[in-house]
Amino acid sequence: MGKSSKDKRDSYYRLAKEQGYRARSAYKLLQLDAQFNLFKDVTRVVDLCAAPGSWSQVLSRSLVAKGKDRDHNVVGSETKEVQEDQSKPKVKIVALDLQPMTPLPGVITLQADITHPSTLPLVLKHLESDSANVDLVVSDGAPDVTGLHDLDEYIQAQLLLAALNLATCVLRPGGNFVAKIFRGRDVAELYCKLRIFFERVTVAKPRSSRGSSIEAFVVCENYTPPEGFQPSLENPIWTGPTRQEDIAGQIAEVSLDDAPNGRWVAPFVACGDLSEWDSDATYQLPDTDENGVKRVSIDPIQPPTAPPYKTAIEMRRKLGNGGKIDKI
Amino acid sequence: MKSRSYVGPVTSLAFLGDDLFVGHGLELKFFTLSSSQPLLQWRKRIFKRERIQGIQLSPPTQDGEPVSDANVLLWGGKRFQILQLADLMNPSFNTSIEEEIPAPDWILHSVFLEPDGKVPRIAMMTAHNTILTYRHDQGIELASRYKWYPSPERCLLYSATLFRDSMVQTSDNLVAIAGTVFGEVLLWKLDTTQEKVPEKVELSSRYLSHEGSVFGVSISPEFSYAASCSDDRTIRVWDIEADITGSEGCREVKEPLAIGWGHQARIWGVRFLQAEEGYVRIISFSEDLTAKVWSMRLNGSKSLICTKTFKNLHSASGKNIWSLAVHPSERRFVTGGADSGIASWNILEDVRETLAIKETVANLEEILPPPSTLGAGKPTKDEPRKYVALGSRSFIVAMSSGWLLHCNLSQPGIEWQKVGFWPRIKNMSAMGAGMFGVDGTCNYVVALGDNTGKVLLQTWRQGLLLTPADSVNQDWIQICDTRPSDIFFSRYQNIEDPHSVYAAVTTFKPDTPIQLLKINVGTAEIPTIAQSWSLIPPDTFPFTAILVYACEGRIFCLAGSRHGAFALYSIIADGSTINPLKTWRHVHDDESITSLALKGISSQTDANASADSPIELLLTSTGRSGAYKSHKLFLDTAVQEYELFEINAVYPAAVPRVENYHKFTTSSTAEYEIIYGFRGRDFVLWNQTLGLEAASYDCEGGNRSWDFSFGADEDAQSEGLFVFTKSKKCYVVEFKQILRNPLLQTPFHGREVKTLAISSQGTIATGAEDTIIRLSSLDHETNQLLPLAFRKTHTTGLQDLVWSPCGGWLFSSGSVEEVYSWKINAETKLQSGTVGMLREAVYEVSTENLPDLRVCGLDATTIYTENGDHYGFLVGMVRSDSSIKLALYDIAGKKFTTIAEGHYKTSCLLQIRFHLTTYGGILIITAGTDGHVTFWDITETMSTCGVSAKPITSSDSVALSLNGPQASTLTPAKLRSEQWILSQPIHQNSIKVLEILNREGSEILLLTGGDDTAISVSRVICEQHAGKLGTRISGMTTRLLERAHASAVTALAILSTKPSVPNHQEKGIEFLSSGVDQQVKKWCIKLGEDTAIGSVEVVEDIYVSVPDVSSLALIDTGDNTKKLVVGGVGVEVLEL
Repeated sequence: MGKSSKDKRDSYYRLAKEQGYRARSAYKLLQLDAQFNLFKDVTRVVDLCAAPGSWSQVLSRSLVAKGKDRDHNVVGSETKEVQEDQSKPKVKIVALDLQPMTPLPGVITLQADITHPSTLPLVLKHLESDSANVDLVVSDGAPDVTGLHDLDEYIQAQLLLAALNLATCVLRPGGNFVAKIFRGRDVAELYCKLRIFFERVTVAKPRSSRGSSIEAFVVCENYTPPEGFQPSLENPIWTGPTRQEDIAGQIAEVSLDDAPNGRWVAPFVACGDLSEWDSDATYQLPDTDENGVKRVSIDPIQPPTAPPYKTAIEMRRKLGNGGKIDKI
Repeated sequence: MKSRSYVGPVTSLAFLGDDLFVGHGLELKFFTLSSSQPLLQWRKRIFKRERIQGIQLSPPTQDGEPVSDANVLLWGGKRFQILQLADLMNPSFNTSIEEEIPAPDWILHSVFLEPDGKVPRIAMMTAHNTILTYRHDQGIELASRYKWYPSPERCLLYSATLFRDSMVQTSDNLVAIAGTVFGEVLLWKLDTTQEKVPEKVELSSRYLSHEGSVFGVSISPEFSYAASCSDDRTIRVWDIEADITGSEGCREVKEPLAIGWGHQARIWGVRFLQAEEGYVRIISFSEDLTAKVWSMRLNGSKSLICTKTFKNLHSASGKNIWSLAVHPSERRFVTGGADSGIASWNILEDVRETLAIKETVANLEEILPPPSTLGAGKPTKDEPRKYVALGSRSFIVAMSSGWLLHCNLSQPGIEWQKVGFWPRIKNMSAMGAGMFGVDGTCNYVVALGDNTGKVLLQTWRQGLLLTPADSVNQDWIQICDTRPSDIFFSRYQNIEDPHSVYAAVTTFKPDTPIQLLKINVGTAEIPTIAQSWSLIPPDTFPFTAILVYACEGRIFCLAGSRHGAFALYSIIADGSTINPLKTWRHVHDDESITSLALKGISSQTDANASADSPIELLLTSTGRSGAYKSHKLFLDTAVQEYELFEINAVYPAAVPRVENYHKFTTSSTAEYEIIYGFRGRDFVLWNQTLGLEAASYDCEGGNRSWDFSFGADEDAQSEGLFVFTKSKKCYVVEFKQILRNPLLQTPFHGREVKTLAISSQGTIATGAEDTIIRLSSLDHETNQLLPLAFRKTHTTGLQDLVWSPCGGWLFSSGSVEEVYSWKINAETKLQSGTVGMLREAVYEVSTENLPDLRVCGLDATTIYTENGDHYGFLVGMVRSDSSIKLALYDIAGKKFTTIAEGHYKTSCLLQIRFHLTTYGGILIITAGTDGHVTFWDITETMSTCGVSAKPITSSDSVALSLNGPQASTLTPAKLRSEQWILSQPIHQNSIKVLEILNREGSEILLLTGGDDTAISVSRVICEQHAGKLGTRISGMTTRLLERAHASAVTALAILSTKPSVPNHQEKGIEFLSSGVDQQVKKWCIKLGEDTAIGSVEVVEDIYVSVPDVSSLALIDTGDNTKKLVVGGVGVEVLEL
């Protein structure tokens, strides 16, 4: 599918290009913010699994450059010097990913494993803080989907729980946590776990997230850890036993999913106004814009990450023979 | 509710000797493969919710014998079970899902350890790169049975395999190999024999260089090599010997020993095979639907070479192979697919009896004299011009020089024989062969044309020329006055007259008569021409195939042309010139007819049958249109009516250029439809019944001289012979196992079922993401789905399917605006063994350039003509650009005509339903991603198109009727928001499912399910507008059941309107719901006076093993009970 036809199929793809976002997923966070007012009074925020960086862009534009001309339809706005608002407390945005990420103005990008214990001091160092005082932790991480639903949902849940573990280490009481979730067969179990740490847990589906996709976002508000809870990346919770004494607890956990009645389903909120673009709809785009100028499909702000099979394709091309490497 | 059957991904396989364990959904199945027919012996449920992802048997004793008290370990997700093999194998032993044991984390792999006396012990590796051991002592508390070991590196894995290091004295020394989500391969060792858990465990080595997640890892039996496979489509082999024996620190390796390139998609698994002298061998399986055997030489440059590719495993519908097991002998392996299929393949090809394809290039120069001695003219290079294959073991080839050669393949090695040399056949191409049986053996009459219009006839039997040599040299018979272009034989041998074979001789001159010959083969040695006729071809009708049917003195000849047409001749007096009775154009579009065959006759069987009685012939034809078709040819000579009806058409995607079709009956139970032809460079034999490629051969395309024949004699049934010319050389390709059935379990859809609909006759139609529509029936005894037909005609994943109320038509929709109508001929199953499934029409595509415009929802309701005849259907379509189209479907004209269209808003529409009221109102109900349900009153719009709702006199129902002008002359009416009589927000976002209880009447009971996890129940009262045509909604009550499921509600089925409590006066309804949470819930709702909705309760709630549930449908079992069919990633049948 060409760029232009993808524009019609996917209005958020087109919008992202027009507004200089690295990925269409930026609108998911914008719509979540519009519903939950997530960015209110936020000065310290951690973006997990951040690459290619569209959520960090949203955070940067919303928190650092607030009030400035941020909706300029200029491609390549990244290079523009972002002026910090002096009247506001200094905003710290730390973005983590295992993959390298193109730097963003106003965002500290770190290449680190969110599950590794050494990551915590690194994050705290960059937040210039020695205690947990982050207002918001966000995570849009997703695994390579294999098609085996149970495995895919398990891996996604593990990414979410890894993010939760890090969040419990850095969030201030009252802080918020937003993460991608697959609403599969065991989602209620995850809701239950999140509710232990947050006063309010809502599952939200932004209009920019396709209806046909299993993804949604958990919005967990007002971090209130149970009394005596010791957050730790050395002994994270719910991500498999890390000590002999964890086994009993983990097994009890597993038994939970037999009891549908013991499960709790988070309330659902669809966010984003009905007047906004529908990510499932196909749009007829006029050939010209309102000024009568012929519409040109623009290039994405960042080319998509090279797929892991890029070299394999190059090898095939090199070997020729119509792509047939071997014959019977 | 009880689960009764399941089709879906096969997630694990393990051999027990020659027999096979299969993890299929929640169940373990056991197949015996030792007998000729694989047999399912039993199936037993193991887990409550987990699919069986791994099967391990207790290791055999030192001498390879199974131990007497062997155990079986089964795992899936965070569960496992340990069972005694003897118990499990006892058919009367029932497994219990209550015996499943929870594990503290997701199990990626597990092995048995040395038992502690009689108590089995296992080790498991989790998705967090952690090893735990477990001692199966049910007497102690669960957590204490586990022993935890520290992980050298806690990271998330996609794959892991544990090995017991048998080279170390105690075999509870474990070697673990793991593939991470970040492309790393980790190797580490753990000694579990010590009582004390070590404080720290080190990685032995870390193998880097994969460019994507590692989905499979393995270690060679002698612990010398490791192999890994990945998202990056490579297999990498690592030298691990030093890391296994060494003990100092973690080695980081960035260069693999060798990289295997060749898979064209993600690779899911690798296994080592037994090494050959000097070589390491590996088998891999991939998302590209192939398994590959690889070989790496140990000396010299270590490159990993793919030595064999098993192509298109699970190809009909597959996307993935999820499991593979190699037979202990390593002679064969089995694969389990996402398509529910299990298939067996031979690894070894160098054994005579398993040789599937044998290719020989004939060196004709050695046989024939050098060209210079060929008489007059310049010496030119001799080349094969024309072939006729006589069964699978011999063929005749005419050389450009004038030589006619025979080749015998029945003995090992090729045996050539010079039949004759005639300058008169130089550069000839007119040669054909007809088959006739004599006393159970196959004979061939071969007709050879020369340059002057003469024909020579010979008879061959089992590779021997029966016609005496002197006759062969003399008896050229003048047939036409010009050089013939080809000779076609009719493939039908008449039982009444077995000594006659019919052939048509065509010439290069267009529009000249075609000579039809009746060849008498009664005295087999010397065939003679008994009669001949001149057939006048219709305009532009070059003959390409004929079929002659003779019965009680009447002879009919049906001819096929190069331009896709059929012509029918009635053959009368000898020597006469005959004009066609009737011509049918575009039977195979405008493409060449490649074969014609007679499949059955259903003439009048009553005693009064006379020479004039009508005859009905069942025919099949193939064409370059890419189809094989079944037709009914109706011949009524008394009234001179000749009608051709198409009853089935199959366009096998695997064979885009169809040359011929043959139906085999291999045993009383198995019938195989084999189609052959070309696909790109390949000659392909396709088994349509199994949906699998039987064989293929790269001959560099079909535009060359070639012939193919199946084995004619009984002992050669599974054989085929393909001969062709390439670069002026004669290639001989022998196929040996065309009818081999590699399937142990029938495949179904390879990707998720997106839509499922059951006809009023109980035919189940499923449409899936794999772009295939399947028709199945339900065996009420076994609850298994029996395949009836499938079509891969859509080019995109299916969006919706809807049956006509009568069950005779099916409408399907996909993306890119695809909407098709299908005529379903269920009655043809009796005559031809297959259900006719004919794509009758394609809905017009809009001129606007809207790529990927999905037709998300469909509905169809019957329309009658004014005098009560069945006109067709009103078809409603809603699409992703918010547009609605209403079209008439004319069953006689086989076409759609749009009669109304419009847009809702701009949001995507997903659902549409028609509703007719008792007073003649016509409503449509739509719903989409904005969560609104909208009622449109289209009564007036429809009346401008001549469509009105009228009561049916015979019952108290209402139906649409068409009168007035021809629909095709109308410009489509506009659908506008003025026609909305109600647009009600119900859900927060997408309405994934909408069902209405009464399709007619003044009260509509409406159920919806949303992505917002809610279900709504609404009662809507319609009332006629006073004094004008149309409807208003006079009352509506909606009850929203929030958080009805834990995730999106995607399917609903209304079960009954009976009160669930006996003797209860209140009205009530029962319905079923399901969603992405894989629960099926049964609800009971009480309905009060007017529009009141009373109490709502869930009366049943069960888990189904089908992820991504998209549809629920009910099927009548005939005895007043119903079964529930659940569609998603697979299909599950539940008894209610």
